Amino acid sequence: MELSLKTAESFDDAMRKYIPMVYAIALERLKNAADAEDITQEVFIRYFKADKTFESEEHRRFFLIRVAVNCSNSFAKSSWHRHRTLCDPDDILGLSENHETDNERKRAVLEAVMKLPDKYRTAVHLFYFEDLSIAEIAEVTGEKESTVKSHLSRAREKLKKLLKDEEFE
Amino acid sequence: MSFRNDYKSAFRSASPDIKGIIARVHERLNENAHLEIRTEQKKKRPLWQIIAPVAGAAACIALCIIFIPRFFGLPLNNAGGMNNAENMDGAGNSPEFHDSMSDSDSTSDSELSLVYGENGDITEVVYCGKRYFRTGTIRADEASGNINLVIHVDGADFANTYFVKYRENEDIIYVAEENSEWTYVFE
Repeated sequence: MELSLKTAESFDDAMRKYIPMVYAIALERLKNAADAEDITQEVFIRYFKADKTFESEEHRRFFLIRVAVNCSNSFAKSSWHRHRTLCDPDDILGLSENHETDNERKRAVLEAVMKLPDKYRTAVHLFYFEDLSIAEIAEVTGEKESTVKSHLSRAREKLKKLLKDEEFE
Repeated sequence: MSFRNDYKSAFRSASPDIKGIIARVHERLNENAHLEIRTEQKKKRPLWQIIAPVAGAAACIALCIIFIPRFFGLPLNNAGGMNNAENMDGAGNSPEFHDSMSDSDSTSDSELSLVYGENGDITEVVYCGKRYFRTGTIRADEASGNINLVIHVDGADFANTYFVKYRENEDIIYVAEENSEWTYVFE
């Protein structure tokens, strides 16, 4: 089955389905909700203009992940973003005052991940949030598998120090 | 609780404004579509729209070249580098008038006539109704089979020296103004 953007409905459906994924990738990379929304828009505009035909849903997902990573990296390199004040984790995640215990844990995890160097964060996000394999992460980011493995390994070491009671799979 | 679950849970809390993003994407795509249409229209501009301004400018320049000298009273063709005063004879006529008379090889009595004295000398020139009297000598210059006579006459209205061209067996055929001899004799 081939998937394309022949109708406005299919484009909107694709956006509804993949906006959270693209937004999360941009958010972990840029640490700013407004910038992440801008990047999400940009990704879907590129997606529309590309007008690609996808072999499967997985193929489309990988395409969007790759575009999101590339757009976020480009944006993160801009001097405007480098001099920008980043938002508080609570503002980023919209944490409420309810479920205080849950929020504490989420805040701690988020703060720990945000402290990681940029090059580790994307690998962590794609591995733990998008459930991609190391080979898939290497394909999406254009890096070698050994590099991805190394980034993940070092990221885990740092996270272990920051989150002492967490278990890593 | 595992890191994977905590991490997923944390990022799922970060829910974006999906409707807002979709609306803005559509808005930007529409803007881009307008821009693309404008670019297409620019690319497809017909040839006459490019040629017409250039042709118009060229026509304006040509008209300026033609009419500005006329507006300021300047001659378009300054024959032989002579100014207007040089082109005029003593009677206020242009040399072309004399040339045409010369070429005709005939004398119009209404314009030019000679009055001879008792000894056969030319004593008077009647030119365009005005009488010019001989006051000086007659000198001959033989060139190109023509005999050119110079007579010094005082006109009724002018006090210049006039050159009168004469051909053998013919009467004087024209008069030209000049103070220096032979310079402006038109042959």
